[in-house]
Amino acid sequence: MNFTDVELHLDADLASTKNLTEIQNLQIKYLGRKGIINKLLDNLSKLSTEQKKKQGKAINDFKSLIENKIKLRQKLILHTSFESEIDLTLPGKKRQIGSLHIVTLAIEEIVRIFKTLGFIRMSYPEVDWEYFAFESLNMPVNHPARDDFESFFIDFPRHAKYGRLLLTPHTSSGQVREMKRVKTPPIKMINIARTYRPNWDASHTPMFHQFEGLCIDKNINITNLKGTIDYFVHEFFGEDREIRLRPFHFQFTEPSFEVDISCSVCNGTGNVKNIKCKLCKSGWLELGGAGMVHPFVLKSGGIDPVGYSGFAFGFGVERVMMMKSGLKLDDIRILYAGDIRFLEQF
Amino acid sequence: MTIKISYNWLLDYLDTKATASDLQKYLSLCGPSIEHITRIGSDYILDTEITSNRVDMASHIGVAREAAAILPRFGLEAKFKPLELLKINIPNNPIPLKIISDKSLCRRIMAVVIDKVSVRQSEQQIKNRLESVGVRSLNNIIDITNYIMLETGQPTHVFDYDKIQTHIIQIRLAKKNETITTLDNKTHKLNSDDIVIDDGNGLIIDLPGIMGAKNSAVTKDTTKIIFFIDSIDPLSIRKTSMRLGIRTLAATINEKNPSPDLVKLAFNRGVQLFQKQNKYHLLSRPFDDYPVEQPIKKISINVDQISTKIGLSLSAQEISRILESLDFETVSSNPKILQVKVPYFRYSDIDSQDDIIEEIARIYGYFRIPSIIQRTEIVYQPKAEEKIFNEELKIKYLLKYLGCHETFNYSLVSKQLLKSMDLKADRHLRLSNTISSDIEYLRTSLIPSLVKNCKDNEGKKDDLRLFEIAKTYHYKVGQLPDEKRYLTLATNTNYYDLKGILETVFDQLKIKDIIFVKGHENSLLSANYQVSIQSKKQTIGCLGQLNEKYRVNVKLKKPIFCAEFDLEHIVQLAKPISAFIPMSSHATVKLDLTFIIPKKMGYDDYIQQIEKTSSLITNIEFISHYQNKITIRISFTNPLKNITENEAMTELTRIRGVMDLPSV
Repeated sequence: MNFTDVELHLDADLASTKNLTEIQNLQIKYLGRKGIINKLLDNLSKLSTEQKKKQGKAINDFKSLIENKIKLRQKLILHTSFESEIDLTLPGKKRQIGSLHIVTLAIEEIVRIFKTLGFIRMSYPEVDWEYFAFESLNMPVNHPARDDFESFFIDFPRHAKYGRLLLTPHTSSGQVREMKRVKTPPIKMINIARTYRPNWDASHTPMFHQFEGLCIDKNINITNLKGTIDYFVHEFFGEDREIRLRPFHFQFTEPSFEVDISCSVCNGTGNVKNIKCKLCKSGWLELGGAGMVHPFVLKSGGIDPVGYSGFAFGFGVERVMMMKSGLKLDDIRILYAGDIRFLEQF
Repeated sequence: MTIKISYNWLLDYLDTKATASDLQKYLSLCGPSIEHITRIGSDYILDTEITSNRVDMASHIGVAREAAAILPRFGLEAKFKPLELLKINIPNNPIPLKIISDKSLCRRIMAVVIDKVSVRQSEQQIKNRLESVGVRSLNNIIDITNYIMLETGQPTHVFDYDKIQTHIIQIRLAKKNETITTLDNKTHKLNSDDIVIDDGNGLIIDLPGIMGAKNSAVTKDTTKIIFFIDSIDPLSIRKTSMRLGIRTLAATINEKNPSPDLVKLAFNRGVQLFQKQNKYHLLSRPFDDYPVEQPIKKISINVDQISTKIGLSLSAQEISRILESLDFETVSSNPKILQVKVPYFRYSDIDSQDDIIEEIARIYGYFRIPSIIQRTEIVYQPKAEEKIFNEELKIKYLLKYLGCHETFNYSLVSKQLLKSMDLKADRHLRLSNTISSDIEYLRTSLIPSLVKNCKDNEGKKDDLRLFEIAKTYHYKVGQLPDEKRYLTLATNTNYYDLKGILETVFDQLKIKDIIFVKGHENSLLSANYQVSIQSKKQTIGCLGQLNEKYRVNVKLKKPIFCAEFDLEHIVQLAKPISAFIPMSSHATVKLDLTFIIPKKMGYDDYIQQIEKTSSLITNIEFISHYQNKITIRISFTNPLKNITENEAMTELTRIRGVMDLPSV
């Protein structure tokens, strides 16, 4: 092939290149180790020194020409947009992914937040003796405060010391168990578990989840309880939700209070389209109770109430999850109905 | 308990310009929570939550007292106006009445006979006020008793004097199986620890503190009444009222231990109201039996300790000011110690310095207390808990990304569901007080719930892949049940779909030595369509098809495949990172082998045998199966040199020989 043929060929090749991969191929074809230009050089050996010099220069010049032509084309391609051969707007190949229950997602988040504060997650019996649910928490038999924790009892012989067997109506039953396990504070525990109370309507399911925090050490005071709950609320809900603390009464804390957060179904107004909000009380939703651990409870757990003090709180997992922005359920029974159309949304 | 407070009525005892919504806002922050406000005409009704320790607030006077302490902290003037009681003029009339109390059962009784009453409708204001707070107006006599209760927080009672022929009122314990017919016409059988009132002749005429008896009740023909207030032992009130299911407002208040000192206020107020109605009423000499008066309670508090517990520096003056606003009297014996005298109406709920701290902190305002996160030493989580929670979450995410949907079911199932799968109810813990037969028995397996989920979702989605991780509860004699976390999966797709999901999970958890062994373990799965999943000869779970009989019982259209594990078994085997195997620098040749697995042998066992035949095998991959023919792909690598295709072929032929497989 002479120079003209090569040039004609290259022109034809270049005209049909559309992308950089084809340019790369042409570079190999013309300029590569076994490419056309190098082939031209092969013939040089047969020529005289004079001719070699002359021809050699000619080939080198020609090589520059080829290089320039290819470069030019490459530049053009880089600056020209070609229509893609496929419709880039069609849906891609989606994978079938499942879903996690929103309670799992809430628990994961709660654990993460408290882990940052150094709370360890523990687990205690969900079927337990009355003693751990009540007596050890300063609620003797026939105490009216027990009404607030109506319970499911199990058809089972009474324990001589610990009383009847029940489904834990709150996660607080883990408090004394943790104190007995640790023996010497500091204690920083988070207990997340299924809890049970006999109510079943739009805002109650007989089974629900609570998370209990317990912190006991020297010199723990109300500011620490507030600091911890504030931290949780800001991490979990963000800054746009309103919070209030109200005095309350629990036998196992002194002082006690209840933490409320503004309702997201009615946006804190208490009404949805002029009808009383199904979920909350006048725009506030109760997250749960909190307080300073009662000296009686510390003693139940074998901890000296003079040297140590602590705080505890117990919040509803479903509640905190629903109060989190964006999730508006006006009937919480759907959580445990197992409907795939609900489950797959999370 | 939630009580209704009328705003207008409240203003009888409270001098303030605060509005109903001010009360809601500020009382909720520092005192009783006001949950709703309802407007009725020109009045507002406040739904007020009274905690069980603060029965002293369960009245208009009680709320007014709190409001007078709280509102000024928010810049709103408020002053408590105590009831103005006139001195009772007693025309010492000899109307006979004998009261026999028992100080072990009753702390105080006040009573008086009032003659010349006429039963008629109440005056409009009393009627309106009662009805605005949800109490039905009956007649002028009964209405007064209710009015006093709502006003002062002390339940009161009236008898028809003439219906008690003996003119004797005797407190005693009931005898077992005695009966009483209460005002609402219900007859109750009594126990020997119920407290009753007897007419001296063995006739029960009242269930004191709870509800009156029909036989001594005021009717339209009544002309003489006994106005009667008792302060019965609160524990007894609660036991009787709970057992008989008589939850009147009176019982709800009395069981919370209102101070017996309050009886006198309510009594005088009652007499005043009766006399206001008809000044010509004649009275007997009032009776007051109060054998053991409530003592005065004094608590000494330490200013520094209070500051430490709250986390604020409060002065003795500030503490005194707060306590005085709540009717506590304080005396300072030295700058750090305050002697606090508890007001009579707080006698039962204030016992210690901690109780006083609560009073100071709430009135100071929880919202004013700063937030400071504690600094404590590091607390170590036990390794077992750490691992189970970490792996549980990892497994959940793996299953999610493998296309499975997590469900949460109740821990309890119905007898019917157990029965539909031949599970014996008596092997399950049962609730003695369930509220629905749907949640009666504690689960020992999650399979029934998940099968039910599959049934309930029929027609909602074609391919269902569901899983749940939850505790199961296994009966133990005389002890707490064994609580085991199970991981259970159910799908309506097919067996290999589910098996593949499990295998991927095991791979990801770096669990290497799992084998699937044919065999019958789980009664919920078809006997000849299940495998046990084993690691080192230990069964960690099972997989198979739901027994066809149960599928039909629950009316499922498609077969269901299930797997169930004790989660702890999986967690124990899981490793965070697998051991590193150096990559061979020598060539690998991959050759396919097709064969039929001998009967009674599982794939895993057979593959293990093949692996044992040659040291050149570095990997075996399952390719496909067609009917009973299995194709696998074996990788051959010689660790010392590059293996040639011929050498690999020769090795394969040798393997065929060892495994007794026909040559190609």
